[in-house]
Amino acid sequence: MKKNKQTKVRLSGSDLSLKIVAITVTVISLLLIMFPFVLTISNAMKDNTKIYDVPPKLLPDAANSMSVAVDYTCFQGTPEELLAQMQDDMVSTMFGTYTILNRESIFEIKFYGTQDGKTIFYGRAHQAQLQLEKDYGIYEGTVLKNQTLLYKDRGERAAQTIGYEYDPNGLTRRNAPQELQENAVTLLEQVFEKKFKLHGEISAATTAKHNSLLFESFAHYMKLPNYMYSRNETVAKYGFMTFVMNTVIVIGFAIISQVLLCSLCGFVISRLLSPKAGKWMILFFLGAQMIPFASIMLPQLIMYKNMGAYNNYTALLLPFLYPYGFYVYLFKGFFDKIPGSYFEAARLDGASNSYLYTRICMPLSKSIIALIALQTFLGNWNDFFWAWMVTERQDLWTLNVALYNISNNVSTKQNALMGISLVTILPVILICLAFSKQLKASIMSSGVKG
Amino acid sequence: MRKPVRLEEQQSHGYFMKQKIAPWLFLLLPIIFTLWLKYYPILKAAYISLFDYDPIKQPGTFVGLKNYLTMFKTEFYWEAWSNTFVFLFLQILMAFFIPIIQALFLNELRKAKSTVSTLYLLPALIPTTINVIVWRWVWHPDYGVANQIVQFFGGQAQLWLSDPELVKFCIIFPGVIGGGINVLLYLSAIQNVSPDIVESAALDGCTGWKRIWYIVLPNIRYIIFIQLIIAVSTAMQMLDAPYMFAAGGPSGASTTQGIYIYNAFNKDFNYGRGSAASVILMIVVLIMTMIQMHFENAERE
Repeated sequence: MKKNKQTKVRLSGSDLSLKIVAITVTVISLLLIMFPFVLTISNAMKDNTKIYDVPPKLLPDAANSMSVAVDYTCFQGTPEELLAQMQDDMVSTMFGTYTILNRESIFEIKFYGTQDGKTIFYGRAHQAQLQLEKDYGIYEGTVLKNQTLLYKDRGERAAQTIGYEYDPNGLTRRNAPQELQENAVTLLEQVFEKKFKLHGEISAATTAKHNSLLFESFAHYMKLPNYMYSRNETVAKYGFMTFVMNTVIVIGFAIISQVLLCSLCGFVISRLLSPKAGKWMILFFLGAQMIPFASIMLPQLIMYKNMGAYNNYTALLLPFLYPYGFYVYLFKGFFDKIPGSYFEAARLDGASNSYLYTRICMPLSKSIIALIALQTFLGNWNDFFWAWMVTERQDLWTLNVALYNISNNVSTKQNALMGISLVTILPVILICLAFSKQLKASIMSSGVKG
Repeated sequence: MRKPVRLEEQQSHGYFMKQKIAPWLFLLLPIIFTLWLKYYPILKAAYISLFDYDPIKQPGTFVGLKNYLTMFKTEFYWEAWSNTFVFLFLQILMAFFIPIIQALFLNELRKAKSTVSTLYLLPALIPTTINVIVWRWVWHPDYGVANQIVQFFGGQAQLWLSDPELVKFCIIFPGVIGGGINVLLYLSAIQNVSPDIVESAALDGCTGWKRIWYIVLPNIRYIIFIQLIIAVSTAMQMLDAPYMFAAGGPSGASTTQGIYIYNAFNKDFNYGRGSAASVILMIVVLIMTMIQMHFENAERE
């Protein structure tokens, strides 16, 4: 009796230890899985200086917004000259703050021009926007100081790109700050010490914390392709969406062609061929899929180039135009299970093969179509090398190719890169979370069959 | 048992012919495309490998097996193979078993099983490109997290991806976070272990760790084995990750067979040698696949 009890205690101890280990392992795994996401988000929200801090911080610093009001009451001249001066001053203030105060996490700079107590000029820029102009825009490759900033018409062009409002009679909707905050003034003094100069006089300056500005960075990161590949018309116009569209085209085409081709082959093999011929056909298709991509990329490239399928959509889409053996196999297995009486009845009524396929097989195979579509999606979502080999034109790049090229560009900033990456995977993750039930069911059903 | 659809016997001669030919008409296009897009290129690779290939005046001069022989003599080719096998070994050692462990322990959880399994899917949704972007930053010698952790524990800062000794480790390491579709495959296999076996084993005192070791694992060994062979054959063809991480460098330390082939025609413009390497790789993968099919058939019977 006593012995029996002991065994029981020992066993439940084993169960308990298993339970504890199971929970620990799962929690650690989940933390590890979250790690890349956390790293990406935190880096995407830092500014270009803070990402290089050692040791790296997990949380980004709070974002500051600085407002500067400059007074032009003493100015004598035409309104056009006044506007030109205010444009110049806005550009100097913004890029000056951006360059000199790079450690202060100033994510937003608002510039107000005032005259006789009226606010007549307003401009506003986000830090990431200035970063883009500095890296790829008007100031690409320039050392920022007053002379270079305002050289010839650069000041005006920069002001046009950043955007401003001007009304000599006073802007009704904008009100310049009145207050001169001490810390803001000290910061601005650093800016206008040497390299940068103003025409007017600073009448007010304030700083405030606005953490929502951290999220605004993403909107500007997405414009990176427009700036980086501005010589390509399509990319310059549609930017990041070009790559999204290309990915949608490629994956959409792959899904449609795989579902159609594989279901057709599966139907014919399952229902119309003799078992022996069917087996050979399956082997034929499976064998084609077994051929490693690395082995045929060279002859495939030569062949496609000879056909003129290089650097165009044909080259991207043609590789999906043959049925994948494994999917044919899955479809065949599925159609094998449809009761034969369905077909016999239709046959006796004189139904043709195509009728059997379109009216009997396809409506019944929604679940398997979903599985194949999902598998094709996951397979191609990762696809990189072929698309990278055959595309030189930027407007043909898929997301993977574009991200790889952007990441290899020396002037790409890590925060922008992380931001773009995050925006790329976020929709897919959200969709998958929304459909996670169906997704898991279809994956698990494919696993049972092996 | 009645065969479901084959009713040819009852039909007239013309209908019989139609039934015989029609299926092949349906299959005609898929077969042609498969032959053209997959079988023709691999035959062409074998063909080109016999030539001193000239892309302008195709196919150049016939040299027989010279491409193969010179390739076998170069050390770099064998280095690429040894790299491939080191990658393979690391992949199995570091990344392959993680999803199995995750699935085994996930199955032990009572609550939150469904939520956790959804979270395990997330790594499958991150394309290699983005994984590379994130991990290149982790491995960054100056600003990366990796050196911070190493230094925190009193180690020396490393060059990681620029270090020929460490580059392979760095490329495979992201796999240790596990997850992905495989966790779900294993989980479904574990859940398919007959409850009768588990219950009767429990009556004999086989619970807890013993149950995992003596009941669950032996029952899912088949899917583990299949996944292992798939992992081996995938690792043989490894191309994207080493290329994106380090472009085959530093000093060729991450050059796999795939990158060797790519460099042969893209950098050295030696199409003959690239094709020869393609053919050898194809043969090796074919052997792996045949082993896989052999075991699959054995298991089914």
